[in-house]
Amino acid sequence: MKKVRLVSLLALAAASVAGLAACNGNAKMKVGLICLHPADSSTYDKNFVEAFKESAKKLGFNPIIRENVPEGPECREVAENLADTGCKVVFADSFGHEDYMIEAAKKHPTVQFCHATGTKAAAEKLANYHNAFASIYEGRYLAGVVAGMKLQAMKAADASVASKIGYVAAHPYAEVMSGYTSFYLGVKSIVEDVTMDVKYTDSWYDETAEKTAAKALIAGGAVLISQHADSYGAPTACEEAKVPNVTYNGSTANVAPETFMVSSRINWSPFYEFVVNAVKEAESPEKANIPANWCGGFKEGSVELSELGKNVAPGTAEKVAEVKAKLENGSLKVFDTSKFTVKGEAPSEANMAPSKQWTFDYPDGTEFIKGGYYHESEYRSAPSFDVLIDGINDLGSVNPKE
Amino acid sequence: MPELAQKQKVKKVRNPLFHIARRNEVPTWFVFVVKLSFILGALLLCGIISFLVSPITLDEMPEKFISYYIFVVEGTFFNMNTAFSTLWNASLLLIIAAAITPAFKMKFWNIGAEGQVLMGCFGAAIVMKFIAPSIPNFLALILMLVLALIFAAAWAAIPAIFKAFFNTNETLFTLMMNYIAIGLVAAFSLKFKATGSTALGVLNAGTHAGWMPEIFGSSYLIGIFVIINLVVALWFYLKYSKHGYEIAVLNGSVRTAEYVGINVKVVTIRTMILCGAVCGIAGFLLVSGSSHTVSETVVGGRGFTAVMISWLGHFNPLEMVLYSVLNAIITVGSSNAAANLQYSGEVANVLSGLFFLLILTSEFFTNFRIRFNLRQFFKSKNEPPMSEGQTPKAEGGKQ
Repeated sequence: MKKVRLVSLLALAAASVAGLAACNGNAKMKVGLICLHPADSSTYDKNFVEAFKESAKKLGFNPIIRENVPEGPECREVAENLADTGCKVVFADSFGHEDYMIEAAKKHPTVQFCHATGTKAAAEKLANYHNAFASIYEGRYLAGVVAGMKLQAMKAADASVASKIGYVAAHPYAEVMSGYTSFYLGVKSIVEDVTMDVKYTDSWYDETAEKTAAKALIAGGAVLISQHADSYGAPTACEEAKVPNVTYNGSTANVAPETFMVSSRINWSPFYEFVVNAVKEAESPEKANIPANWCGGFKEGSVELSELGKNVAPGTAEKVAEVKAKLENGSLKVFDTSKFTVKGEAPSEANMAPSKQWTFDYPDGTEFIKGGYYHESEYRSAPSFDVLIDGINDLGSVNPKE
Repeated sequence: MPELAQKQKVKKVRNPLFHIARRNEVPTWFVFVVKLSFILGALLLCGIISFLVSPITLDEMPEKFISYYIFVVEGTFFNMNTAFSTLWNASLLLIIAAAITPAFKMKFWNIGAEGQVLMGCFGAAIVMKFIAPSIPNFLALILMLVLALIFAAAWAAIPAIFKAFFNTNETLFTLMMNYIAIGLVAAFSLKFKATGSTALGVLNAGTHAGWMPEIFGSSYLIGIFVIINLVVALWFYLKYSKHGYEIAVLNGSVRTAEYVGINVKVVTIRTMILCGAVCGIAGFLLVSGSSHTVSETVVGGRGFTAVMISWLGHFNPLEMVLYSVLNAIITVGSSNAAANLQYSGEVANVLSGLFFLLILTSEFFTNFRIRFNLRQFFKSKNEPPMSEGQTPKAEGGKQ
């Protein structure tokens, strides 16, 4: 009797499922987005989700957002499920999703898989797998110019102000190192003799560590702070100490109304729109013309600077517009090799090549320095600059390990 | 205190509104009707909540009233791939639920399946990373299975030995073993992961060494086939084998078991090793068939969900089939509905939790009878107050 009960229950479940399967029709193109955390609790994912929804409205596609997908095999399951249920493009937002996106791409050759911040697309040579990033180093350089103007004004008002700034950094990886070097070079373009202390928190999000690091940098003599980490720790500490600060991922004027100057962020909409349009224009999704590595800049709208805070130096807005125009037309290069030195020597392939072990495995003979500047984000979209240049002091982690 | 005495005097005693009594004979049709109505009720509730939380308007989606069901089906049985994936998720849950059942049947509350499966995954992944690339694939798969069996069986045997010889609490012991397993895997990933990455990543992505071969384009089918056979074997083992009988006697009473000459220590340890071994097979199938790596989250809570499935299935591996399939459909389907109907993935988790809470509630109604005595209840209200001396006694007696 028990078995009869079971069989009939199963049959009923199957019948109800089959009956509903028949009615499904949606004309809009489906596009998937895989996020590591819920957008409500992470500013990083929020930046992806909000741009995604905006692009969906603009281009009229159907946004299918899957949140809370860990950087593990679950990601492949979700990516495959999105592809199976009709998504023509699947995006993923976190570095650790990459391996699983590649696996899903191999199983679904007719669907495009695009991964932000990843590094393996060039080596995989799959027609339907792509990496994307933005030339955020240009945004940080410009933010550095804003900081430099302020530092110059502070020095002009009080000759005893030191030319020393501080940087709260997440992890000692290329993405972070490229970021703080470009920021430093931006400041240096205004105040030639500036030096910068860097302290790591070893986490993308650790409010306490970020606050501690900012305080330590200020105690060490830094008169201005910038950051690359995701919490409000650093700007809060700066507001308390009345130290001007530059942030990342969007304006932090809400927590530091008196001291906030400017913030840079990546806007992912141009990338979403580029990919979706490419797929729409192609006769079938697998034939869409998308490069293995896509890197957007000011021109595409991928790199954005927030509104300036109220404590910036006079004339900053004009200076920003002038430098931005030069960056856009290519007459100014952020990593101009005549503007910095490495261990007292001029930058060369020998002292500048990214570490293959730590950063990425590029072909031998790749020229990173050509035409007088370091070619950031050209051989792959994710940053590769991972050398400590003169003028920047690495003070190590805020929580040193024994 | 004359006032107080006055108050006590007028206090009325009511007959209870309803009585709860255990059902003795439960007809099959009745269980069927109750379960079915609860499943349908739970589906209806999920559909209503989904409808209410979705920001999509009826203009944009005229079929919004039934959209939850459409997307649940779409996410799970849209085509062959999704169907295989759903069956695979259900099978994994089923085999883990079946694995812990022999232990549950002898009242050994093993809630360490998560850790036992994870240790199986760990063993398989070690072979996959270090040995598989240099040996033929079938040999690699066999070695992975062997190490998975050893790791997982050991993880189950340790608490069983402590229980048998020192009478330690197996629930706490097996629970804590989960966290040790998670710690071990985390340490392993940290040691061998690529720099800048947060996880081990896919192993042997280029060579597919140690990967389960695909048939009909799916790497799940061999695993599903193995699991179906194992579940039938476990059902047979519990129902017809001598070991199964011993477990059943232990379930009744340990002293009876001792009296008839069953060695309780041996049966406890042997049964737990069996549990661990089956969990090891589950871990092996998970790593070779779908995850192709190990991470702290690779088992994904299935070891805990399996406890619920085992209970819902009344410790009958065949009955667990239904609940495993339902679980796979509702969890994956709700996530798909959440993504398509533009509400948070957290809501999808709430929906699947609610679904199974209601199914669990149905157990109450099949096991117990509720008898309402409305007439008595209301009648008692109008009865004159009890005579003095009776009231305090009755009150005291109740407490």
